[in-house]
Amino acid sequence: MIKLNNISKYYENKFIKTFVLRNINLEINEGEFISVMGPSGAGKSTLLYIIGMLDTASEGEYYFYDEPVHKMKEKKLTELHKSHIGFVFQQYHLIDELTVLENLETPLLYQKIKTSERKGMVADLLDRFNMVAKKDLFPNQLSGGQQQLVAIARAIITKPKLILADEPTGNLHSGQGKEIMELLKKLNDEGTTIIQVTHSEENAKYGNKIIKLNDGWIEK
Amino acid sequence: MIRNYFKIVIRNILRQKVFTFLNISGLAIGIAIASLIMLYVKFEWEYDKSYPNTDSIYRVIQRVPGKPFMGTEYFAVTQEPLGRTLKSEFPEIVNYATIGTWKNAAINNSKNMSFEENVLYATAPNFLQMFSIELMQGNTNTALSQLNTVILSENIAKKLFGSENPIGKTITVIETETWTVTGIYKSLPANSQFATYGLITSFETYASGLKNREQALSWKNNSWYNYVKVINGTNPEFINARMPNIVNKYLSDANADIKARELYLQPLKDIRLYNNAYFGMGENGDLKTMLILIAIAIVMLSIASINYMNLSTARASLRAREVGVRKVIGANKIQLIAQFMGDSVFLSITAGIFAIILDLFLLPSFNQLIGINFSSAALLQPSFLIGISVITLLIGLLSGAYPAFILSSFQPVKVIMGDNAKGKHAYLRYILVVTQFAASIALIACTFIILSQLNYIKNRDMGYNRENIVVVPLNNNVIIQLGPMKQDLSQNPSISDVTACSQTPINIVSATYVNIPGEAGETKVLSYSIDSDFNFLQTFNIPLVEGRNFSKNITTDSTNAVLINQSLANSLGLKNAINSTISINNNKYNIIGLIKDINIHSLHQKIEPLFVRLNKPYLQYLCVKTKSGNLPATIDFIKSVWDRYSGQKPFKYTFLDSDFNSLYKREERVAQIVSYSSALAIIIACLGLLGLVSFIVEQKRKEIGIRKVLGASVSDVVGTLSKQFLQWVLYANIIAIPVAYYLMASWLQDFAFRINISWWVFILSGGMALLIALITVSSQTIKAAFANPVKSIRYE
Repeated sequence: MIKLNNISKYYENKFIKTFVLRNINLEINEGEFISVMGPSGAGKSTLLYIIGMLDTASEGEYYFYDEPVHKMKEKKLTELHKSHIGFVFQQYHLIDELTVLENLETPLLYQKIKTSERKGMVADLLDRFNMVAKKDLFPNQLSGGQQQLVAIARAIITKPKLILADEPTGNLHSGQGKEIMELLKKLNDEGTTIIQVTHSEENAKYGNKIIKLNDGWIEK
Repeated sequence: MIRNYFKIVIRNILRQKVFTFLNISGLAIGIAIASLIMLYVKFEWEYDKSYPNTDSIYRVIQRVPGKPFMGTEYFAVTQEPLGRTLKSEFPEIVNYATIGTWKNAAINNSKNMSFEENVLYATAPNFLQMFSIELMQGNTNTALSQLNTVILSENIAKKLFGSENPIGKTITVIETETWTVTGIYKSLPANSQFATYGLITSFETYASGLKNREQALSWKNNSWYNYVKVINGTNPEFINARMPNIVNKYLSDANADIKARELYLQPLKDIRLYNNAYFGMGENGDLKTMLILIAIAIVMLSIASINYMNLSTARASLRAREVGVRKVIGANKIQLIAQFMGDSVFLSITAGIFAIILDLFLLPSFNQLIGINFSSAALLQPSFLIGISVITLLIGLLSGAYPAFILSSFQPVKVIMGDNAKGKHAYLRYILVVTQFAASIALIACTFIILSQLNYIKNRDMGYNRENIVVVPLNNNVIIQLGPMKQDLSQNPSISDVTACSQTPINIVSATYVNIPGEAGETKVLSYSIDSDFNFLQTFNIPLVEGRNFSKNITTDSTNAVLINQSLANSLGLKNAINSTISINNNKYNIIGLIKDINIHSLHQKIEPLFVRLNKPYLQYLCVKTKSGNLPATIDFIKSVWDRYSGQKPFKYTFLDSDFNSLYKREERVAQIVSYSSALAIIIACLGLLGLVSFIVEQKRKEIGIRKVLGASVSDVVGTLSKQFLQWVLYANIIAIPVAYYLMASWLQDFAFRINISWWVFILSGGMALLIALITVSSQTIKAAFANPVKSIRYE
C-alpha cells in the first residue's frame, strides 16, 4: 500500500541543512496497525504528514498504491488524500464555529456528496458513536475525549483506507485514551490501515508493528 | 456547501460583534460620504449635457485683449447681430439663438398675485429647437411667433396658475405689459444653465419694449448671449480663426475697438466647469472645487477600504488553523478561496447597504451644505446603486484576496502545528495604517489651512466698514424722493448715516475708461466706478487721504466732481491728484478728493482703480448704517419710512456683512466638506487602529503575561505595546506634511490676499492625530497590561 524509498526531509538555512528525516525506507501493507515511536524531535510527526501528503519530502520516492506521490501535482494530491486518508490530531482540530453534526458533514461537502446520502451517512455515524444527543453542540461544549471521538468520526466518515493519528490520546486522561485506542483497534479490525504516532508503550501495543525513530533515522 | 460557509460567516459575526461592527461601520461611513460627494460631482459633471445636441452647440464668447475686467479678458456677452451674421456667413453653422436674461422680473398672474421670476428672451423657435425644449402644450414653431406671448416651464405654470390650464391666460410683467401664455414646456433638469429661468418669451417681445432699441441691438452693445449649433464633427478652431475677419466686414472703421476683439466658440458642455468668461448667465461651477471633492471622495474611500482590509485580514489570520483543518479533511484551494472571498464580499455588501441607508439619512443636511436639492430618488438611481455595488464588490474581493490566496496556500501542517505566518505579512498592514493616518493628517492640516484663510478673509480690514449696514434695493419712486427720505431716516438716533449708491463696495462690477484729457498718447485706464449720493464715505468709513468729500453746498459737486482712489491716481500717473481734471467717457471731472485704496472685490482679486461720483439716476441701493443695539426696532423704523415713500413697493433688505460673506460661498462649502471629511477620516482611521490594536493585544496576551511574571510594570507593558503604533503615526506625518503643503499652496494661489502656511498647522494636525491615536491605543493596551498574568498564561 505504502512504499517509501530513501525519503529524507531537511530545512535549508544559510547553507546549513537541518535534517528531520534521513533515508527512510518503509513498506506498509493494507490492514496493518503501525505505531511510530521515538523521542521529541525524532521526526515522527513529519513522517506521518509526508505519508498523509500534507507535507512533501525533500528527497526520495513515495508510492501510494504503486502511484508515485513524489511526482504528483497539488490537485491530484488533494484528490488522492481526500479520498483515501483520514487524519486524527492530538489537539482534535475541530472547526470551532461548526456544530458536531456540521463538523462531520464538512468532508462530505468537499467530496460533493448529495444531500440525502450525506444526511444518511452523518446520521449513521452519530448513531454508531452514540453522539445523537450531542449533534447540535459546539466543540467547546464537549469534553476532550468527546471532541476526539468527533474528530475520529470525522476522519472515517469518508471511509478512508488509511487513518493517520498523531498522538490521538496525548491530551486525554487514561480512561478516555483507552476508549479511543479501542476504537482505533476496532477500525483496524474492520480493515482500515492505521498509523499512529505515540509516546506511550501501552498504546503502541495496540498496533501489530512498532517503528522507532531517532534523530531522523529508523532504529532497527 | 454555501450554507456551511454562510453559517460560519454569521457565527463569526456574532462571536466578534465589536470587531465586525468596527469593520462594517468604517466601510459604510467611507462609502456613504464618498458616494454623496460623487453624487454632487456627477451633477456638476453632467451640467448642460442633457440636451440631445450638446456636443454640437457652442456659445460665442469674446476676448478683449489687454483690457482685463474682473481678472479676465474673456466675456460671455456679445452683440445681438452676431448670431444671425454667423449663421448666414458660415455654412458649418446650422442654427443660432440669441438670448437675453431678465432676473427677478415682477410678474403678476391673472389673480393679481405677484411673483419674482427669471425671464429668458430668445430668438424662438431657433432656441427651442437647438436645446430640444419639448412643449407639452402649444406648438414649438408658432408659440412665440406673436408679440407678447410667453411659454412657461411646467413648474412655473403650477406656481402661477395652480391646477388651472394656463394656456390663453395672461400675466402682467412689471405692471405694464401683458403677455399671453401660449405653451408649457417640460422643466429642464436642475443642472442646465437655463433651469433657473421659468418663463421664455420671444426676443421681439422683449426688444419691442426697449427704450433705446437701436443702440441695444447694434454692434456696440454687448449684452446678449449667442449660441450656435454646428454641423456634427466641425472643428471649432476652424471657425474661430475666420470669425473676426468675416464679422468685421459688417463694422465701420469707427468701430476699431470692436474690431480688435477676438471671437471664440466655447463648447456648451464646458461652460459650467471650464468657463473663464465673465458675465455668464448662471453661477459658474469650479473645476478646482470638483477636483478637490473627487480627491476627498477617493481619500475617504481609500481610508475606509484600507480599514476594512486591515481588519478583515487581521481577523482572517486568526482563521489560519481552520484553513489547515479544512485542507486536511479534503478542501481544495479553489473551495477555500471561494469561502474567504464569499465571506469578505458578504460583509462588504452589508456595508454597502448600510452606506445607502446612511446616505438617505444624511441627504437633507448634505443638500443644505451644497445648496442643491437632491431627492432620495437620486440615491436610488441605477447608476448610483451600480457604482456602490461595484465599489463594495471590489473592496470585498480585494480584502478577501489576502486570506483567500495567502492562507489557502499555507501548508496545513505548519498552520496546524501552530507555526503559522501570523507576523509575516504584517508589514503590509503597517504600510496601510501609515497611509491611512497620512491621509487623515493631511485632511486635518488642509482643514486648518482652509479655515484660517477663510478667517483671514472675513476679518481682514477691507479698508471700509461693513458692520451694521442695512442694504435696501431702491426703485424709481424712492430715488425721486431720496432727499426727504434720508432726512426722515436720520431722525432716528439709532441710525448714524444714510447713503445711496449704484453698488455696495463689496463687489463692484461696473467699470469704464478714464484718461487725462489732452495728454499726448492718452493712457486709458480701466477703472471701477461707483455712482453715489452724499455721505457715501461716512457711511462706509472710507478714509480720505487728501482733499475733501462731496458737499451739498457746492453745486458743481453734483455734476463734475469725482473722488478717486490711490490706485487710480497711480495708474494715471497723477502726483498731485487734487484739482486735476480727468475724463470719464469724454466728460471732464475735477478730482476733489483722494481716497484710500479699499478692496472692492473678493480677496481673490487685487486692489484696483476706483472712482466715485454723484450720479442720482444710477442709484440702486439705500445703505443705512445703524448703531448696534435694537436692530429689529431700527429695521421696523426703516420699513415705516420706506412705506411712506415707496408707493407700496415691498420692503426688502440684506445686511452688508452677510452679502460680503456670500462672496465666499464656494470656499465656505469646500471648507465645510473638508472639515467634515477630515473628522470622519480620523474617526475611521481610529476605528481601524482600535481594531488592529485589540487584535495585536489579543495575540500578545501570552507575551504580556510572561513579561509581567518576569517583573514588568503596567507602564512598561503599555509603553512597549504603544510605542510601535505611535511610530506609525509619526511616519504618517512625514508623508502627510508635504502633500498637504503642496495642495494648499496651490489652493491659496487663487487668492490675491492669502495667509502664509505656517509650521504650527502641521504640528497641530500631527499632534492631534497622535493624541487621538494614543487614546485609542492605550484604551486597549492599558486593559491588557492590567490583566492578571496567570490567566493569560494558562489560557494557552
